[in-house]
Amino acid sequence: MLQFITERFKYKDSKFINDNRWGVQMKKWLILFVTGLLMLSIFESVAAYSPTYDVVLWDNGPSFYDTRTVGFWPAKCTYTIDGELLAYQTSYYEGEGCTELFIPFLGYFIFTQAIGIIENSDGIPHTLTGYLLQNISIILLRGMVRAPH
Amino acid sequence: MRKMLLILVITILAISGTIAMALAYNPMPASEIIVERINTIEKYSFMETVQSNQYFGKIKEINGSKKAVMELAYKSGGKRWGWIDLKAMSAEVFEEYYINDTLVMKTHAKLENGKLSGYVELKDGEKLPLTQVLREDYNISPEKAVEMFMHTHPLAVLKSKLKDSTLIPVKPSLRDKLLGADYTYKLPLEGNKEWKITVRGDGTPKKIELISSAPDSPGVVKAVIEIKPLN
Repeated sequence: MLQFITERFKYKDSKFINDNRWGVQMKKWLILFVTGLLMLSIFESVAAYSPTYDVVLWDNGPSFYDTRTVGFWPAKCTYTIDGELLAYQTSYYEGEGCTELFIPFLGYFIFTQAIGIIENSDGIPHTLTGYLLQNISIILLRGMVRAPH
Repeated sequence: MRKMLLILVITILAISGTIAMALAYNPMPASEIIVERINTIEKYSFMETVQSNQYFGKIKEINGSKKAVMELAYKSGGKRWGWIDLKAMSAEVFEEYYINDTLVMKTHAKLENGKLSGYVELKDGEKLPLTQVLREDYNISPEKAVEMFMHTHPLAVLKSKLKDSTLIPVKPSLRDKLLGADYTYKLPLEGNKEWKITVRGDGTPKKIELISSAPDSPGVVKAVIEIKPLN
Protein backbone atom coordinates (compact mmCIF):
# COMPACT_ATOMS: atom_id res chain seq x y z
CA MET A 1 0.00 0.00 0.00
CA LEU A 2 1.50 3.28 -1.02
CA GLN A 3 2.12 5.53 1.90
CA PHE A 4 2.90 9.13 1.48
CA ILE A 5 4.79 11.20 3.88
CA THR A 6 3.06 12.79 6.77
CA GLU A 7 3.56 16.45 6.98
CA ARG A 8 4.50 18.00 10.18
CA PHE A 9 4.45 21.52 8.97
CA LYS A 10 2.96 24.08 11.22
CA TYR A 11 2.90 27.39 9.54
CA LYS A 12 2.82 29.90 12.32
CA ASP A 13 4.05 32.41 9.89
CA SER A 14 0.96 33.35 7.89
CA LYS A 15 3.01 34.84 5.10
CA PHE A 16 3.06 31.54 3.28
CA ILE A 17 -0.58 30.63 3.78
CA ASN A 18 -1.88 33.94 2.56
CA ASP A 19 0.30 33.88 -0.47
CA ASN A 20 -1.04 31.20 -2.79
CA ARG A 21 1.48 31.93 -5.44
CA TRP A 22 5.18 31.66 -5.00
CA GLY A 23 7.28 34.53 -5.90
CA VAL A 24 7.38 37.57 -3.76
CA GLN A 25 7.37 36.34 -0.18
CA MET A 26 9.04 32.92 -0.03
CA LYS A 27 12.09 33.29 -2.17
CA LYS A 28 14.51 31.08 -0.47
CA TRP A 29 13.85 27.50 0.45
CA LEU A 30 16.56 25.11 1.23
CA ILE A 31 15.50 21.58 0.67
CA LEU A 32 17.65 18.93 2.08
CA PHE A 33 16.97 15.31 1.47
CA VAL A 34 18.86 12.71 3.33
CA THR A 35 18.29 9.13 2.46
CA GLY A 36 19.44 6.62 4.99
CA LEU A 37 20.78 3.32 3.82
CA LEU A 38 20.94 0.92 6.69
CA MET A 39 23.31 -1.95 6.92
CA LEU A 40 21.84 -5.04 5.33
CA SER A 41 18.67 -5.91 7.18
CA ILE A 42 19.53 -9.54 7.70
CA PHE A 43 21.36 -8.22 10.67
CA GLU A 44 18.13 -7.13 12.36
CA SER A 45 19.07 -3.55 12.76
CA VAL A 46 16.06 -2.21 14.60
CA ALA A 47 17.44 -2.02 18.09
CA ALA A 48 21.08 -2.54 17.35
CA TYR A 49 23.42 0.15 16.20
CA SER A 50 23.67 0.05 12.47
CA PRO A 51 25.94 2.27 10.51
CA THR A 52 24.16 4.24 7.85
CA TYR A 53 25.34 5.48 4.55
CA ASP A 54 23.61 8.72 3.70
CA VAL A 55 22.89 10.05 0.28
CA VAL A 56 22.25 13.75 0.54
CA LEU A 57 20.38 15.67 -2.12
CA TRP A 58 19.62 19.32 -1.79
CA ASP A 59 18.71 22.46 -3.61
CA ASN A 60 17.12 25.85 -3.18
CA GLY A 61 13.46 26.17 -4.04
CA PRO A 62 10.78 26.78 -4.96
CA SER A 63 11.74 24.55 -7.86
CA PHE A 64 14.52 22.14 -7.14
CA TYR A 65 16.54 19.43 -8.73
CA ASP A 66 19.45 17.33 -7.61
CA THR A 67 20.97 14.03 -8.55
CA ARG A 68 23.70 11.95 -7.02
CA THR A 69 25.36 8.83 -8.32
CA VAL A 70 27.08 6.45 -5.98
CA GLY A 71 29.24 3.49 -6.85
CA PHE A 72 30.59 2.54 -10.20
CA TRP A 73 29.36 0.55 -13.15
CA PRO A 74 27.71 -1.87 -13.16
CA ALA A 75 26.76 -1.51 -9.51
CA LYS A 76 25.90 2.14 -9.77
CA CYS A 77 22.98 3.85 -8.06
CA THR A 78 21.54 7.20 -9.06
CA TYR A 79 19.24 9.10 -6.76
CA THR A 80 17.24 12.00 -8.10
CA ILE A 81 14.81 14.53 -6.83
CA ASP A 82 13.14 17.11 -8.97
CA GLY A 83 10.12 19.18 -8.30
CA GLU A 84 8.36 22.28 -7.33
CA LEU A 85 6.82 23.16 -4.06
CA LEU A 86 3.77 25.14 -5.05
CA ALA A 87 1.53 25.28 -2.09
CA TYR A 88 0.67 23.31 0.95
CA GLN A 89 -1.63 20.81 -0.69
CA THR A 90 -0.40 20.57 -4.21
CA SER A 91 2.98 19.90 -5.51
CA TYR A 92 4.72 18.38 -8.42
CA TYR A 93 7.08 15.58 -7.69
CA GLU A 94 8.88 12.56 -8.99
CA GLY A 95 11.81 10.60 -7.76
CA GLU A 96 14.11 7.77 -8.47
CA GLY A 97 16.52 5.57 -6.63
CA CYS A 98 17.65 2.03 -6.03
CA THR A 99 17.05 -0.17 -3.03
CA GLU A 100 20.48 -1.57 -2.30
CA LEU A 101 24.03 -0.36 -2.50
CA PHE A 102 27.04 -2.62 -2.33
CA ILE A 103 30.16 -0.94 -1.04
CA PRO A 104 33.50 -2.76 -1.45
CA PHE A 105 34.92 -3.92 1.88
CA LEU A 106 31.88 -2.70 3.78
CA GLY A 107 29.17 -4.84 2.22
CA TYR A 108 25.47 -4.36 1.52
CA PHE A 109 23.45 -1.31 2.47
CA ILE A 110 19.70 -1.24 2.06
CA PHE A 111 17.68 1.90 1.46
CA THR A 112 15.14 2.45 4.18
CA GLN A 113 14.14 6.01 4.62
CA ALA A 114 14.10 9.43 3.08
CA ILE A 115 13.97 12.55 5.20
CA GLY A 116 13.27 15.95 3.86
CA ILE A 117 13.99 19.19 5.61
CA ILE A 118 12.61 22.45 4.36
CA GLU A 119 13.74 25.77 5.62
CA ASN A 120 11.83 28.87 4.83
CA SER A 121 13.41 32.27 4.45
CA ASP A 122 13.12 32.84 8.15
CA GLY A 123 15.38 29.89 8.72
CA ILE A 124 12.71 27.82 10.44
CA PRO A 125 13.20 24.17 9.58
CA HIS A 126 10.39 21.71 8.96
CA THR A 127 10.89 18.01 8.63
CA LEU A 128 9.23 15.58 6.29
CA THR A 129 9.76 11.89 6.58
CA GLY A 130 9.45 9.34 3.84
CA TYR A 131 7.72 6.12 4.72
CA LEU A 132 8.56 2.65 3.65
CA LEU A 133 6.65 0.94 0.95
CA GLN A 134 6.65 -2.66 2.09
CA ASN A 135 10.18 -2.32 3.33
CA ILE A 136 11.30 -1.04 0.00
CA SER A 137 11.35 2.64 -0.22
CA ILE A 138 12.18 5.13 -2.84
CA ILE A 139 12.62 8.78 -2.42
CA LEU A 140 9.06 9.82 -2.06
CA LEU A 141 8.56 13.21 -0.64
CA ARG A 142 6.13 15.94 -1.21
CA GLY A 143 7.81 18.17 -3.60
CA MET A 144 9.98 15.38 -4.82
CA VAL A 145 10.08 14.30 -8.30
CA ARG A 146 10.73 13.57 -11.86
CA ALA A 147 12.99 10.91 -13.27
CA PRO A 148 15.69 12.67 -15.19
CA HIS A 149 15.15 10.86 -18.49
CA MET B 1 25.68 -68.38 40.00
CA ARG B 2 24.48 -65.88 42.61
CA LYS B 3 27.73 -63.97 42.33
CA MET B 4 27.20 -63.60 38.58
CA LEU B 5 23.66 -62.39 39.18
CA LEU B 6 24.86 -59.90 41.76
CA ILE B 7 27.53 -58.55 39.43
CA LEU B 8 24.93 -58.27 36.66
CA VAL B 9 22.47 -56.41 38.89
CA ILE B 10 25.14 -54.03 40.14
CA THR B 11 26.26 -53.36 36.56
CA ILE B 12 22.71 -52.64 35.45
CA LEU B 13 22.15 -50.35 38.41
CA ALA B 14 25.41 -48.53 37.72
CA ILE B 15 24.52 -47.99 34.07
CA SER B 16 20.99 -46.84 34.79
CA GLY B 17 22.33 -44.64 37.54
CA THR B 18 24.65 -42.95 35.03
CA ILE B 19 21.81 -42.50 32.54
CA ALA B 20 19.56 -41.10 35.20
CA MET B 21 22.22 -38.64 36.25
CA ALA B 22 22.85 -37.61 32.66
CA LEU B 23 19.13 -37.10 32.16
CA ALA B 24 18.70 -35.02 35.23
CA TYR B 25 21.93 -33.08 35.25
CA ASN B 26 22.09 -30.28 32.67
CA PRO B 27 25.55 -28.82 32.72
CA MET B 28 24.91 -26.29 29.95
CA PRO B 29 26.53 -22.99 30.84
CA ALA B 30 24.15 -20.13 31.44
CA SER B 31 23.44 -17.88 28.46
CA GLU B 32 25.08 -14.92 30.19
CA ILE B 33 28.36 -16.81 30.31
CA ILE B 34 28.18 -17.51 26.60
CA VAL B 35 27.53 -13.83 25.86
CA GLU B 36 30.53 -12.94 27.99
CA ARG B 37 32.66 -15.40 26.04
CA ILE B 38 31.44 -13.97 22.75
CA ASN B 39 32.38 -10.49 23.92
CA THR B 40 35.91 -11.64 24.63
CA ILE B 41 36.51 -12.99 21.15
CA GLU B 42 39.41 -10.97 19.82
CA LYS B 43 40.21 -12.75 16.62
CA TYR B 44 38.04 -14.72 14.25
CA SER B 45 37.68 -15.89 10.69
CA PHE B 46 34.44 -15.56 8.77
CA MET B 47 32.65 -16.56 5.59
CA GLU B 48 29.61 -14.69 4.32
CA THR B 49 27.31 -15.43 1.38
CA VAL B 50 24.45 -13.18 0.35
CA GLN B 51 21.92 -13.28 -2.46
CA SER B 52 19.77 -10.26 -3.06
CA ASN B 53 17.60 -8.46 -5.58
CA GLN B 54 18.22 -4.88 -6.63
CA TYR B 55 15.11 -2.82 -7.37
CA PHE B 56 14.94 0.53 -9.07
CA GLY B 57 12.12 2.67 -7.78
CA LYS B 58 10.39 5.24 -9.92
CA ILE B 59 7.27 7.27 -9.63
CA LYS B 60 5.01 6.70 -12.59
CA GLU B 61 1.81 8.28 -13.68
CA ILE B 62 -0.88 5.63 -13.96
CA ASN B 63 -4.39 6.69 -14.92
CA GLY B 64 -3.76 10.20 -13.81
CA SER B 65 -2.37 9.39 -10.41
CA LYS B 66 1.18 8.90 -9.30
CA LYS B 67 2.31 5.55 -8.06
CA ALA B 68 5.61 4.26 -6.81
CA VAL B 69 6.75 1.44 -9.02
CA MET B 70 9.49 -1.03 -8.11
CA GLU B 71 11.22 -2.74 -10.96
CA LEU B 72 13.61 -5.60 -10.51
CA ALA B 73 16.88 -4.37 -11.93
CA TYR B 74 19.16 -7.35 -11.33
CA LYS B 75 20.00 -10.16 -8.98
CA SER B 76 23.09 -9.50 -6.93
CA GLY B 77 25.27 -11.82 -4.92
CA GLY B 78 28.13 -11.26 -2.54
CA LYS B 79 30.77 -13.46 -0.97
CA ARG B 80 32.98 -12.11 1.75
CA TRP B 81 35.59 -14.01 3.74
CA GLY B 82 38.70 -13.44 5.77
CA TRP B 83 39.81 -12.82 9.32
CA ILE B 84 39.81 -9.98 11.74
CA ASP B 85 41.85 -9.21 14.83
CA LEU B 86 39.88 -6.72 16.86
CA LYS B 87 42.61 -6.01 19.37
CA ALA B 88 45.27 -5.28 16.77
CA MET B 89 42.76 -3.50 14.46
CA SER B 90 43.96 -5.75 11.69
CA ALA B 91 42.07 -7.76 9.14
CA GLU B 92 42.21 -9.28 5.73
CA VAL B 93 39.01 -9.38 3.69
CA PHE B 94 38.39 -11.02 0.34
CA GLU B 95 35.22 -10.19 -1.48
CA GLU B 96 33.41 -11.08 -4.69
CA TYR B 97 30.36 -9.28 -6.05
CA TYR B 98 28.11 -10.81 -8.68
CA ILE B 99 25.39 -9.31 -10.87
CA ASN B 100 23.10 -11.87 -12.47
CA ASP B 101 25.62 -14.59 -11.64
CA THR B 102 28.49 -12.81 -13.36
CA LEU B 103 31.48 -11.78 -11.28
CA VAL B 104 31.85 -8.03 -11.72
CA MET B 105 33.99 -6.95 -8.81
CA LYS B 106 36.65 -8.48 -6.58
CA THR B 107 38.06 -6.82 -3.50
CA HIS B 108 41.13 -7.60 -1.45
CA ALA B 109 41.35 -5.40 1.60
CA LYS B 110 44.03 -5.31 4.25
CA LEU B 111 43.76 -3.56 7.53
CA GLU B 112 46.99 -3.21 9.49
CA ASN B 113 46.85 -1.50 12.86
CA GLY B 114 43.96 0.62 11.70
CA LYS B 115 45.43 1.50 8.32
CA LEU B 116 43.43 0.43 5.28
CA SER B 117 44.92 -0.72 2.00
CA GLY B 118 44.02 -3.05 -0.81
CA TYR B 119 42.50 -2.97 -4.24
CA VAL B 120 39.30 -3.49 -6.18
CA GLU B 121 39.52 -5.52 -9.35
CA LEU B 122 36.91 -5.06 -12.06
CA LYS B 123 35.64 -7.55 -14.63
CA ASP B 124 37.98 -6.28 -17.32
CA GLY B 125 41.00 -6.78 -15.11
CA GLU B 126 41.43 -3.15 -14.13
CA LYS B 127 42.76 -2.80 -10.59
CA LEU B 128 42.03 0.26 -8.52
CA PRO B 129 43.22 1.11 -5.03
CA LEU B 130 40.45 0.42 -2.52
CA THR B 131 40.91 3.72 -0.72
CA GLN B 132 40.63 5.58 -4.00
CA VAL B 133 37.41 3.78 -4.96
CA LEU B 134 35.85 4.41 -1.58
CA ARG B 135 36.73 8.06 -1.69
CA GLU B 136 35.89 8.85 -5.30
CA ASP B 137 32.86 6.66 -5.87
CA TYR B 138 31.33 6.61 -2.42
CA ASN B 139 32.79 9.69 -0.74
CA ILE B 140 34.09 7.63 2.17
CA SER B 141 37.51 8.49 3.58
CA PRO B 142 39.81 5.62 4.64
CA GLU B 143 39.38 6.56 8.31
CA LYS B 144 35.61 6.58 7.98
CA ALA B 145 35.73 3.23 6.17
CA VAL B 146 37.67 1.66 9.02
CA GLU B 147 35.26 3.12 11.55
CA MET B 148 32.30 1.75 9.61
CA PHE B 149 33.95 -1.65 9.23
CA MET B 150 34.43 -1.93 12.98
CA HIS B 151 30.64 -1.74 13.22
CA THR B 152 29.70 -3.79 10.19
CA HIS B 153 31.93 -6.85 10.56
CA PRO B 154 29.83 -9.94 11.30
CA LEU B 155 30.60 -10.33 15.00
CA ALA B 156 29.97 -6.65 15.72
CA VAL B 157 26.39 -7.06 14.60
CA LEU B 158 25.80 -10.08 16.83
CA LYS B 159 27.39 -8.36 19.81
CA SER B 160 25.17 -5.36 19.27
CA LYS B 161 22.08 -7.56 19.08
CA LEU B 162 23.07 -9.41 22.26
CA LYS B 163 22.88 -6.16 24.21
CA ASP B 164 19.10 -6.37 24.26
CA SER B 165 18.32 -10.00 23.49
CA THR B 166 18.81 -13.29 25.30
CA LEU B 167 20.44 -16.40 23.94
CA ILE B 168 18.18 -19.41 24.11
CA PRO B 169 19.93 -22.65 25.08
CA VAL B 170 18.88 -25.65 23.03
CA LYS B 171 18.39 -28.59 25.34
CA PRO B 172 20.65 -31.42 24.27
CA SER B 173 19.15 -34.83 23.66
CA LEU B 174 20.08 -37.77 25.88
CA ARG B 175 22.33 -39.14 23.17
CA ASP B 176 24.15 -35.82 22.87
CA LYS B 177 24.62 -35.63 26.59
CA LEU B 178 26.03 -39.12 26.80
CA LEU B 179 28.29 -38.65 23.80
CA GLY B 180 29.50 -35.30 25.12
CA ALA B 181 28.53 -33.34 22.03
CA ASP B 182 28.82 -29.55 21.82
CA TYR B 183 26.05 -27.34 23.13
CA THR B 184 23.93 -25.09 20.96
CA TYR B 185 22.35 -21.71 21.67
CA LYS B 186 20.00 -19.83 19.41
CA LEU B 187 18.95 -16.25 18.87
CA PRO B 188 15.93 -16.04 16.60
CA LEU B 189 15.34 -12.90 14.59
CA GLU B 190 12.35 -11.49 12.75
CA GLY B 191 11.44 -13.41 9.67
CA ASN B 192 13.04 -16.69 8.78
CA LYS B 193 16.46 -16.08 10.24
CA GLU B 194 18.43 -16.87 13.36
CA TRP B 195 21.86 -16.84 14.93
CA LYS B 196 23.16 -20.23 16.05
CA ILE B 197 26.08 -20.52 18.45
CA THR B 198 27.91 -23.80 19.02
CA VAL B 199 30.00 -23.94 22.18
CA ARG B 200 32.28 -26.46 23.82
CA GLY B 201 31.60 -27.95 27.22
CA ASP B 202 33.34 -25.10 28.99
CA GLY B 203 31.33 -22.47 27.14
CA THR B 204 33.92 -21.28 24.63
CA PRO B 205 32.26 -20.55 21.29
CA LYS B 206 33.34 -22.93 18.56
CA LYS B 207 31.23 -21.72 15.66
CA ILE B 208 28.74 -18.91 15.13
CA GLU B 209 26.29 -18.91 12.25
CA LEU B 210 23.62 -16.63 10.89
CA ILE B 211 21.17 -18.24 8.56
CA SER B 212 18.51 -16.32 6.70
CA SER B 213 16.49 -17.88 3.95
CA ALA B 214 13.40 -15.86 3.33
CA PRO B 215 13.01 -12.49 1.66
CA ASP B 216 11.57 -10.35 4.40
CA SER B 217 13.86 -7.41 3.96
CA PRO B 218 14.39 -5.35 0.84
CA GLY B 219 15.56 -7.72 -1.80
CA VAL B 220 17.53 -10.14 0.35
CA VAL B 221 16.79 -13.68 -0.66
CA LYS B 222 19.35 -15.65 1.28
CA ALA B 223 22.25 -14.99 3.59
CA VAL B 224 24.61 -17.28 5.45
CA ILE B 225 27.40 -16.18 7.73
CA GLU B 226 29.86 -18.41 9.54
CA ILE B 227 32.23 -17.18 12.23
CA LYS B 228 35.06 -19.20 13.75
CA PRO B 229 36.80 -17.74 16.79
CA LEU B 230 40.57 -17.95 16.65
CA ASN B 231 41.48 -17.08 20.21
